[in-house]
Amino acid sequence: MSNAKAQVLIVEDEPEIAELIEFHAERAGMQARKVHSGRIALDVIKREKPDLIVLDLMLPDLDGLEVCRKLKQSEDTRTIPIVMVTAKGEEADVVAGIELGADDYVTKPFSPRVLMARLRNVLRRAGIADEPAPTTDRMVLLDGKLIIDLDRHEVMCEGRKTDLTLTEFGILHYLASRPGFVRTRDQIISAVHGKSTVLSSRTVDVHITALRRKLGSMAECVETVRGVGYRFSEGTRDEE
Amino acid sequence: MIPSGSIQSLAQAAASAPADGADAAATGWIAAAIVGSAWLGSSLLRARSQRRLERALLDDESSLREDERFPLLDRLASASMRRVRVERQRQSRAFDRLAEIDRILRATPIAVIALDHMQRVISANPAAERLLGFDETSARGRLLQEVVRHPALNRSISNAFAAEGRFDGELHLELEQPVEVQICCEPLQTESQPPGLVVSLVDVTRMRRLESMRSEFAANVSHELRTPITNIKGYVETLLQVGVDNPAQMRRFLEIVHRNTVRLSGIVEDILTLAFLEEPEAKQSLARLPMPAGDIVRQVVEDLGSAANAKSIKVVTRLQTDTLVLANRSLAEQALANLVSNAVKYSGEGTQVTIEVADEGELVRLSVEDQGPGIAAKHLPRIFERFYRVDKARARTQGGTGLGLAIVKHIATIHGGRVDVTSQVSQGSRFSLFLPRAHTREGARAVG
Repeated sequence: MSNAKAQVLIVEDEPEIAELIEFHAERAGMQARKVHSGRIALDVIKREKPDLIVLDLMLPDLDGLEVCRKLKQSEDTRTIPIVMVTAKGEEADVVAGIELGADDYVTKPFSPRVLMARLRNVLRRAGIADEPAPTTDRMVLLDGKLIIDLDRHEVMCEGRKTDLTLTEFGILHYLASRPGFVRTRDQIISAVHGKSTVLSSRTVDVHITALRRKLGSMAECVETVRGVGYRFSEGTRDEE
Repeated sequence: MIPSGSIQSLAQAAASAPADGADAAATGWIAAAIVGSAWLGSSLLRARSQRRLERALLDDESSLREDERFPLLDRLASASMRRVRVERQRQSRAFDRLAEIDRILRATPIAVIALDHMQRVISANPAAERLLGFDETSARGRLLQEVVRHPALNRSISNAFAAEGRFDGELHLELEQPVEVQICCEPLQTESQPPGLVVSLVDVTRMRRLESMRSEFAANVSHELRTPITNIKGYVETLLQVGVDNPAQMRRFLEIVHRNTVRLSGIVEDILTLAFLEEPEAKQSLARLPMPAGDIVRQVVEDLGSAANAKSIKVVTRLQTDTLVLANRSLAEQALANLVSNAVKYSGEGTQVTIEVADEGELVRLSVEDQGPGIAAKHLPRIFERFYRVDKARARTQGGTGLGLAIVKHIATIHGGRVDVTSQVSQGSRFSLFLPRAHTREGARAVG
């Protein structure tokens, strides 16, 4: 991203909520534009390629998940980050959205501050994600308190070597390679075991529990996102 | 000669033989006959006495001659006789029981089909005939797939046979009317053949429809409540934490908060009204009095006059002064007010809203006619449903809760009346509230 203002497209059919998001986005130095329907959103996105999309999932014409699917299917729009705005009790939609490739979400009623923190994080990560994946064999995380050595298949937790099973190591590596990104159980399974696995998504919980126990005082770096999945802590937490 | 010990044991065996119906009875009797014949030693005698014994055992003990009444044989004979009697009772009880089971199977609304191991129909009850549309007598012995062709059902039954006869699930069957059925298969054990299958089908179409209406309602409620709360929370937080320098913008934000607070309280109010109207006791405890329909109209016009004036809408009333309705005053006023306020909301400036009272037999029609945009025919059957929106965006700008017409309908229903709508796109709509007619003003004074 250059010095130009980040372009944010707000897809929200409730005009006052859209105006609220617009107010905060512009205050944060972004350039915001609002659309109230999924179809219009697709047109505008194809034409203007915004840097970020704030997408309400409950839209009158084309539902938000469908918009998300269409954007992720198209080569032009696949990489544009999406933050979903959804309602509590619609975790199934959040899971579906994240599996489609959405980056993050907030639930209504949301705090504008939390939403803006998410938007900034996603923009920042999008900048990182453009770079090729790190070729280093060692991942140094959380100010060096956690080191994942891919070569030796070893994890150093606050200086002490921690024995992890193959699956636990795989999960930790997968989550830690994109801090802050929520991953659903199904995503974790296919990343760690390959798509053909017949493991139930609840086995992931068992592995996570074991992993946290072994991480000891660092256990909190693997965060539960209730109803959705897990993510690796970004170190700095959003205020909620 | 057979030692008496062994005869006794035979007799005992006969008396205590397992109660397996006619076979056991026959065993007892054959034992008696064998013992008897050995005792008498002559084949002729044997044949005759066998018949006599048989008669005696089955009918009348006293038909035996004196010299035939050997004590041991006697004991044996009466023991066998008891068995036969018990067996006869048992059989007749079994027949009764079968008839009873048959009656139960005929009466149950659950469709039950029994199949043999080759998937041939052994029997099916009337509920199965009705649900799947076949005739049991002609179906018996034929393959089920030949009798009824529903791919989903046939697939489930194949699955059940593959899973040792056990299968549970829900099927969508495209019959004359599409139905949702719950299917439950259990193995049918037979003595001589591999297990067959008992298939039970329960029609759950109505239940599923109610469930989906309920969850749709819950989703609508939560969406309708969440939107104003999101706005209130978001704008108040903005004003408190961020601070807004521009006074005009600050005022605008406060107005948004105010508007959403009003909207939220309106929705909560309407949900509570609906909850009250839906209580089973609401109808019984409803205080109803005879009152002139014109009084209700006049009150509503007075309350909503300023809203109509603001849009230069002319409200015309056509009343019949002597028409009485039996109604709860405040609910009747609320119902009519909802109709008039909709008419005013959706009509253009300078149009006319006509409120009319007319006798319709035992009911009185209070109708509200507008010159608004009208409603397309496809929406009319659903317009009295909660949260049903003809045009979401327009409803929002008008600030409705989406519950107004549902409340009108409920108020009409608990009065024993009904609602009605006719509409022409771009010409206008006419909503009618029917309330029961009162023939005398007795008690009307108590209304005050």
